[in-house]
Amino acid sequence: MKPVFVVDPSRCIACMACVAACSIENGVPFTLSDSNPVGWPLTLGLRTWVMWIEKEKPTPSRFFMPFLCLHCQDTPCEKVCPTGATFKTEEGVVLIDKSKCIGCGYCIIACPYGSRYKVKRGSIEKARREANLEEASKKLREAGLEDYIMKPPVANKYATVEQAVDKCTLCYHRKESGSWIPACVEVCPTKSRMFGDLDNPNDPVAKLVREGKAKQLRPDLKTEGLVYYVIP
Amino acid sequence: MENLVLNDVWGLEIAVEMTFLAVASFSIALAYLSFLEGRKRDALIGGALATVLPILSLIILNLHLLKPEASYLVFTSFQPRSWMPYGATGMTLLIITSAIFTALVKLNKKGVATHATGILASLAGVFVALYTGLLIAYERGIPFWHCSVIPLIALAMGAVGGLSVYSIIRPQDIRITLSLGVALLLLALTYVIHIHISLQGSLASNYSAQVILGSIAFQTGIIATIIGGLLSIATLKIRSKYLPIVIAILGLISILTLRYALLTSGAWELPIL
Repeated sequence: MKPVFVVDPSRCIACMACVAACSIENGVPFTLSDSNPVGWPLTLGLRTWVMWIEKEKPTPSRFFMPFLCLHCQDTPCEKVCPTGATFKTEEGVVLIDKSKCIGCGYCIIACPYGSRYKVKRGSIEKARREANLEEASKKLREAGLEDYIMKPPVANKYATVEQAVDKCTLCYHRKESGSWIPACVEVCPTKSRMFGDLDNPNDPVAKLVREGKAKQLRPDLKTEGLVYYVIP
Repeated sequence: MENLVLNDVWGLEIAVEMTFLAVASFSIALAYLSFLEGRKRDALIGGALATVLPILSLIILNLHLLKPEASYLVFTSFQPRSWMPYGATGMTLLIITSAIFTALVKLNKKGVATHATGILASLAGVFVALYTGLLIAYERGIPFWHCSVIPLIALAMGAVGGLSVYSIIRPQDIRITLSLGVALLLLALTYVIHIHISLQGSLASNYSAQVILGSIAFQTGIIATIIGGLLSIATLKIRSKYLPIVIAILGLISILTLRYALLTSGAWELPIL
């Protein structure tokens, strides 16, 4: 399988369900982030985000741009990693072996797309504390709404941990468990985020790439990522 | 432009770490030259600095890591495509060879072993100076750094660092003061060339160049570099014990501030539709 991720910004309504799904799936506390309408994972401390882009000309307009790691095949972050913590799977997904990551930040510097960020010691604990999760859980339990209590992240070796660099994994752990659809794609209500297989000739997502409707960002950098955008 | 984002991953601590390496790098080369000239005290000071400063650099580097306890992985998982393992190896080699060289000089040994460790340590020193430039010039993320002039700037900074130390140790030696002046002017020249190239480059490198031109660190550094260079020429006419020391202090200030300015002005041009 050759995974391909296509983003159609014209369909995005910035509901942020993707961000929430990613946070829950991978254990990235939302309050860890530096929330801002404009930003990349690097600037926000999240694996995925939706940017609000506003333009004054020719007419005032606003559109939304979902963003995540582009999973470059000519991979700048992998090349500079001094310990081999960053690696590519056979499908081309760029992952981080958290046990090998020493947090030097060289990969963050090398990434031209701002897809990586550091998770410092104590930051997850602090973020969870600030979110008052325990108090919220207690109140939900008291109200008989146990189903709405925030669940712990899906256990996987690529989940967010402290003292390591973090980034999108395309929910690679789901592939290992059988069905592989990233959490953000699964919850996207407008199909702005799509996931497919380039090796499958009948895959509608791959078709968008083959027909040239979906293109790569910054092709001048020749990093050849797995993520494409339907650019109007 | 909201998609131009300045680097805040590597800042002052990395600038200090790299400055220590710059000072150590050419100090050992000058220590070996001092040894060849029979100046034991000067050789010992340079050798000791080339041992202690890279150790301090490694400590700073480790404190900067998210997981310092796993830093040994840089050696055990040696990744040949990354500059960092080569740098760590160079620094380690510099520490070991400088320590041995200093010990041999202290023991008045003048044989092959002293020469061999002196030459090896000098080579490691020059490599370490160059490495601080290669490290940031190699990666593509920040276009302002992805430039072949950067390693030359790093080399010039190494020369300024080492010569500044020896200008303080031996202020009466006009050769050192003049060499320091040449190194300072070379540093100013390469830096200005780099900014000139960057101003004509991509959006991000142009932005970085404009940021650096407005930064106090750059202005302080470049003024110190030029004044130091010009003062060194003045030493041909004015003989003063203090002037070489002043030039050396200006040299040390310039390499720290210019390095800091270089790191903090690096910007990504993050993609936006």
